[in-house]
Amino acid sequence: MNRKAWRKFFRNKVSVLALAVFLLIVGCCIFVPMLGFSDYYTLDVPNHHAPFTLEHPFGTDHLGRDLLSRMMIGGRYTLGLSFLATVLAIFFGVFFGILAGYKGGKTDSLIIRISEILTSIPYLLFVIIVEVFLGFGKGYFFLAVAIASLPSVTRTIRNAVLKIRYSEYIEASITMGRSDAYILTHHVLRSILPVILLQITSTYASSIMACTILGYLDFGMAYPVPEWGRIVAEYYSKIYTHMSWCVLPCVFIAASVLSVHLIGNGIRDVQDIREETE
Amino acid sequence: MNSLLSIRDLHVSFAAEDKRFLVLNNVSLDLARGEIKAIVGESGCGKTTLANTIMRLLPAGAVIESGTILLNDQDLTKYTEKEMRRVRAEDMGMIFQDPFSALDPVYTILDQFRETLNIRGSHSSAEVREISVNMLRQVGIPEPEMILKKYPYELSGGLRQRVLIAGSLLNEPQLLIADEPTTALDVTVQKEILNLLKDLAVRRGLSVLFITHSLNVAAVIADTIAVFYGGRVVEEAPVKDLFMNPRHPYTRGLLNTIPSLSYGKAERKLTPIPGELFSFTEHAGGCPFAPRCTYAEEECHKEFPALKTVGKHRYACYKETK
Amino acid sequence: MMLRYIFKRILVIIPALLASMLAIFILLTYLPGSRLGMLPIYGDGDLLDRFFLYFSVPANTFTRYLRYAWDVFTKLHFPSVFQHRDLTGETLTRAKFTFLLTMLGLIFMIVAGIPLGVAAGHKKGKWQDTLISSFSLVLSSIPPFCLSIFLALLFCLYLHWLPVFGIEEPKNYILPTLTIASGGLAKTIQVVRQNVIAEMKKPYTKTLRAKGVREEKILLRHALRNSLIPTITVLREMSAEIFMSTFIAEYFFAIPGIGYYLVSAIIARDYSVVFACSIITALFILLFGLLCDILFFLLEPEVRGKSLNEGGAHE
Repeated sequence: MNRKAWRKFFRNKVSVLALAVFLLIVGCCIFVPMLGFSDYYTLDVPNHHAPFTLEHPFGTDHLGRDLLSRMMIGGRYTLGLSFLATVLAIFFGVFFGILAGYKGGKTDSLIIRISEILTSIPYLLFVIIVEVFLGFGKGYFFLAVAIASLPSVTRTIRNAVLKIRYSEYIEASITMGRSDAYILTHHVLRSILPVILLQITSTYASSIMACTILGYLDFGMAYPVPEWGRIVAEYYSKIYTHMSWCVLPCVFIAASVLSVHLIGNGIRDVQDIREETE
Repeated sequence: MNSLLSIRDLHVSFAAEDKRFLVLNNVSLDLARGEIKAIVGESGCGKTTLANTIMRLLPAGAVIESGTILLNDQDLTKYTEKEMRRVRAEDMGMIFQDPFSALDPVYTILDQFRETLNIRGSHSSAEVREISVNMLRQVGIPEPEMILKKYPYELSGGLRQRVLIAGSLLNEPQLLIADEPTTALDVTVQKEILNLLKDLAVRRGLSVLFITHSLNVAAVIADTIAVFYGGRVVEEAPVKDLFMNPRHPYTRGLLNTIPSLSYGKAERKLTPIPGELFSFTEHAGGCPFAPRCTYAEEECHKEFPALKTVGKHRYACYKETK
Repeated sequence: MMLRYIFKRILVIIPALLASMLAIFILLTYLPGSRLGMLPIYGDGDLLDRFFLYFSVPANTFTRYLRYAWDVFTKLHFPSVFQHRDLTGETLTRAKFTFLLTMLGLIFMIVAGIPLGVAAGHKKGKWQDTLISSFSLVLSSIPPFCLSIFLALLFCLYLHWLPVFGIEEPKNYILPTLTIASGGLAKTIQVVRQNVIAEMKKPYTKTLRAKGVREEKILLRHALRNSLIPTITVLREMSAEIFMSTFIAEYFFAIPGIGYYLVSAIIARDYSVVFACSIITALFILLFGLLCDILFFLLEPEVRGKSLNEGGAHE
């Protein structure tokens, strides 16, 4: 995206608001735990079930742990690990997608077949495999999330490449004797860059979802490390008496996913405008 | 009055960049029954807008400012959307530039014809089939039964354009508006379609408003040609008259860009019209062609000259160029 | 001709299923601790023998896999190590629930998603569009387990309309269905809206308008009909996500389906159950793909034409 596109992006109130909300959430997750509230794991049993106070802005849970710290640290894990998953999925997805779309033929159908098979295997299975090999509860489940989102990224990138693969300017470039590397970096990569940008936001959104789902199903971090999904699962039994314990992380998850979606929409709109004027 | 369609002082404006621009400026045209009139002009001169205005298929933001469009002495500009729909269904037909995208890809030709026929009242399947087969024969399709079963993607461009013409004639309109119907086709197919339209006009007494950017095509098909520039009619004349005796500098410029195959004339140089394409957003006033005109004088930049009529020849220029 | 097409697609599915099974098999047999170290403690008779054949006999993975796959298909059995019994009956009973729930979810997402999408696309830029689009955007941002919590809070805790757990009554299925449908519903709305808008700009709609066809008819008979094709493609791509939300719904609302079974088996490290459930899931996802392909075939004349003329299935 060039500067003009960015300016258009920032003129859209919704995208700016979404970006602000997202940065606010990330910022809170990074900085709030540094402000000196009690640790997420320190038990303060006498002070259990504390209401919202200055000392514990979100109160304490049934063991007296500070909920604000738990949620912010949880956000670090959820947002951070799903970001790692996104980076991996995008990197390999773009690689395989370009490979399939540009090479075509057997390479293409092999990659498509494999991605179809990957889609059909529930990613819960990858979680146990990853965890058995690399260790339980250490956060490696992000690898499983990355594997789960790999097929769709690959397919999208492949289709985007296919759209321009046989266009005249690439044929012309081939006729001129340009090397594959030159064509890939100068033409293919450049023209699918908007698609990649959109894939980053949509993959990040779905990764946050997947990470919290795994956390909720208890395949996430080891106890007592909090993570948004597992906080929800942990406090679900207390929902009748202390609804906020459960609802707050839900709101955080939904807010971050929604803001990422909206940022993606903003980027898409900017690109649509560009396409129309070109 | 003998004319089927009579347009008087039509003004149509578009909104762009927070301003309104007149894309049709004081347009007056008459189309007689059975006449084929070509509207010629470069892209962006308002010729497609004219077609859309007559059909009332203007894009959002375009408004008819003033003027009348009389079809059979009924003013179409006064019609409501519902009445217009009836007029479109019964009195007018339209065909478009790109036959590849002008048919819904998921229905067979028969389905699409049935839908068209049922707009005017329900027909039994046998009737639909009979009318459709007849119409396809009339547009020169040899195996109509076969074609009816097909989906649009199975047909070639020329066939699709024929099917589209047949579809637009199903409800027996008196007026056919053809918006560059041959531009997307191969040259040989172009010729066939032009002949077909001409033939249909004669046989069915159909009036055709034929929009094109090419004087060549217009010369082949039309009885009269109206030359558009910058949203105005700058010259209108019967084909022969226009070619032999062009009065407006723009028409002369257009004629000079046509390559000629005949000997003797081959020496003649092809001269492009100087200057840039007309743009509504940059036009200041006066004759729209003045900035590119070699004969332009001061008055040309100030006010658009009134149309002068000499016999069947109308033109709008201060200077009568020889 | 349709049967031929379906037959062809099934022929594509069988190797895909075998490949998925192989992948699952390899992944699970090479897990540390899964090579039936515990087998001698639990095993009994015939089942034990077969387990040795699948997992421990010093043969290469592929041979063992072939034996396993052969037994799964011919004897239709999924033996379990921990529970030392054949799980086939149990797996199939559970698969029924998963199938039923997913179907309900799919029906709901289509029945609700298409009209909402069409309405939003038709009223593009007006308040109806803003309302529906925001609804679908928010819906797509709520993970299924959060949604089930909200639904349970609203309908069970506050309104007392619906039960939270169980499978006894039809109304038990309402909340799980909503949970399952949420993601797909949001996506359906977005795709239908976007495509209806795009279709309404295409030249053929102008042809129809020029013929005097009513706007509503252009919308429903033409734009919507053309939008169904991309919608099915998108739903097909979402299959894994849809089944995952089925699992979550089962887990949350305690419905004894495949997903609930799988999650508890993973926690208990009962790999035989994980095996059986993964394979059933893979089968479901592949069948879902088949269903989409059939719909695609019915809706898209070009695919129909190609499959007849060239004999190739679409990609």
